[in-house]
Amino acid sequence: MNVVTVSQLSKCFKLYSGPREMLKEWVHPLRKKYHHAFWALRDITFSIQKGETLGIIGQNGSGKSTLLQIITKVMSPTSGFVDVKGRISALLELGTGFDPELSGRENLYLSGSMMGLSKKEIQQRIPLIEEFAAIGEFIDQPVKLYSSGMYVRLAFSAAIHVDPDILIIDEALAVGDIKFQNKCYRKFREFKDQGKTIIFVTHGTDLVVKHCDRAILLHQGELIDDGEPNRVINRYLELLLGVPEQGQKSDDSSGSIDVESVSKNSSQIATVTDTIVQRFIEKQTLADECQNNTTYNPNEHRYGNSKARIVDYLVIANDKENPPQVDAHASTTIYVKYHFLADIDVPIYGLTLKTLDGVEVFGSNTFFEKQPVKPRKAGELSMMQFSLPLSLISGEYFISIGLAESKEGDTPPLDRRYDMIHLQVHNPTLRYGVADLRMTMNELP
Amino acid sequence: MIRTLISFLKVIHRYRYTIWIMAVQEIRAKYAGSMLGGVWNIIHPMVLVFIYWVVFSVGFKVPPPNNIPFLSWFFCAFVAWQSFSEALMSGSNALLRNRNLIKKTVFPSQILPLISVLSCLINSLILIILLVIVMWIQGIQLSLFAFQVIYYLFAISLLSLGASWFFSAASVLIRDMSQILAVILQTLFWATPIFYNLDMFPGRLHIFWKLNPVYYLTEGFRNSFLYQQPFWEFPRLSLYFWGFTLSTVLIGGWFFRNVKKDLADNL
Repeated sequence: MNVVTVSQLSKCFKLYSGPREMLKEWVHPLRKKYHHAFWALRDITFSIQKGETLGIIGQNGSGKSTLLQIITKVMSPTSGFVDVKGRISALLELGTGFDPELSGRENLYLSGSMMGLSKKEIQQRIPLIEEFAAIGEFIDQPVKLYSSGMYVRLAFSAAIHVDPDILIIDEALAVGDIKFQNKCYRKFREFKDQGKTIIFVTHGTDLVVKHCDRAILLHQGELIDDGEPNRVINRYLELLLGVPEQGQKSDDSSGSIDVESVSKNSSQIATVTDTIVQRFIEKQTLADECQNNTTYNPNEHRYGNSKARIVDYLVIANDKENPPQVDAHASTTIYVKYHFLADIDVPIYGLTLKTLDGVEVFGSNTFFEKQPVKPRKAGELSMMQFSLPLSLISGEYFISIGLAESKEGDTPPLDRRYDMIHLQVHNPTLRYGVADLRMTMNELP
Repeated sequence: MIRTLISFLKVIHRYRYTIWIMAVQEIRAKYAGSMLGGVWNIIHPMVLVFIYWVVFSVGFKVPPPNNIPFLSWFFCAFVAWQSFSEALMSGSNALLRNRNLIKKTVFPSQILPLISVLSCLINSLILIILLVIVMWIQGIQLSLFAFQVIYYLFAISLLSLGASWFFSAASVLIRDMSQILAVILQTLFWATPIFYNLDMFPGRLHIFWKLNPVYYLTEGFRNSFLYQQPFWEFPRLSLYFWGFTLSTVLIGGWFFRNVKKDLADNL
């Protein structure tokens, strides 16, 4: 049964360069147009089944919020229609029904009454909401005194306790702490088990893979992909990182079929990646080509004495060149090319892996590993191959590449490019933390 | 039209609890954070009344009719005016003030002006109590006709609700509307015989004052508290007022309903 049906939905905003243009258009005798039309959504059609958890993904400004506002009837569409069966509880922006001057408890009465609950129904739910939000005695303080975490917790608790048939969550959970987030995801499960429908909008791609049955991808107001979360996420990351679309636009299914057929024919892949690596090795790179890679992070931090430069790199994972997503359980290989501008007797090649918030997960170099390396003359190119399994939990990670020299007991840096490579790791398991240590568990008899 | 009215009444019934909480909160919010709180409700009109009294009674020596003390006579109409203008101003601002609710939640925006108009009734009530105290000090007895004030408060609320629907929705589409409304209210204040006596002008011109619906309200308050006249003594003026008010409510409601779907886009 379809609980939400969206059919040929379009939304156009009239943009005026100022209020005067608006007035001119109104009074113009020949109905001359002074606005320009901005189509936030174009011809969107999809439906959501009862009990389904749908993820909506897309870049900022792709029309996600507008779509939600129309589904919740906050905004009216320019054309097309939306049909919704059942009560929607929407967290378009957490706690917007809240009045900062009122206490938490009073706000629960206010937002509950807006959702159409009677005073009695609200009174029954308040202990449950209080317990779930766990904000203690703050429930009787004005909401303006809350920390943002408390605010979100109360708003989220209020939203899920109105007994909705459809729950819409827009980027909401990013604020709560881990403990509360886990609680929310447990509640999600509960909702799913009860056959309720959830619409989930987020930038956290791993959340979509973990929690959604299906995902749709919006791009510049158009629905460009609809289907299995993992595939849609890959498409999204490709868009985000600017990988040219390999004929996917013409036929949505061809992309995934290609990958499958290729992976069956393993000898073929070997040659495909081999040629890529071969081409990389043979290319005589002297200028900096790192930024041409899709995994390159333009906000890298670079320093060194410029006696040598890191000029190019290549990431090979899942038998793909610079893939948008790296599988946590497959081996990843990084090739790096260095150009020497001075004679260096003992170069030290290093690599560091960090989380998005800067925690070093792993790092090492040829010096620590006692790996013999050749001395280099000015003008020479050298190359390193780093192979490592990225046994990590789903998320984004940075890789830093460094080059130093060992000279008279000191190690002056020649070129260090911190956080140069930005990788998205995909881990299909529900394990949490940073490293996936592949624990095994056995119940003993 | 009747269907629209019924559906509006249904919305009011369904959201009665929300309306109540929000109206109470609006009253609280107005004075929250100030040290004297609700006392400003009394200080503000008293200062205004005092200034007008000094200027017009002591300065210009405006004569009130029938030897009624000027302060009571003036205050009476002032209460009616203040009730009307506060309800209209706050009702017209209701959508802009609650833009979050309209943009982010599913909320019947047509009840927002109603909430503002209702919350202004408490101010009217305080003013009426002050009026009764002033009258008692000046030795004027209340009669049963004073109960007519309920009828006039209803009239004030309905007229300001209808006008608020129009002005609140229009001010979302055209932000200049709040300035226009301020000019209209300023003009209306001086055009209504609140601190001057209509008898100062020749009788054949009175019709121009009577076309102003606020005249019916200010005179109504005086009839209730001072002249002891029932409203049915003025059938033609009453008929005109209710015709005007109902048209305002219909036009305002019609306008609001038509632009409602565009409100979220323009806030």
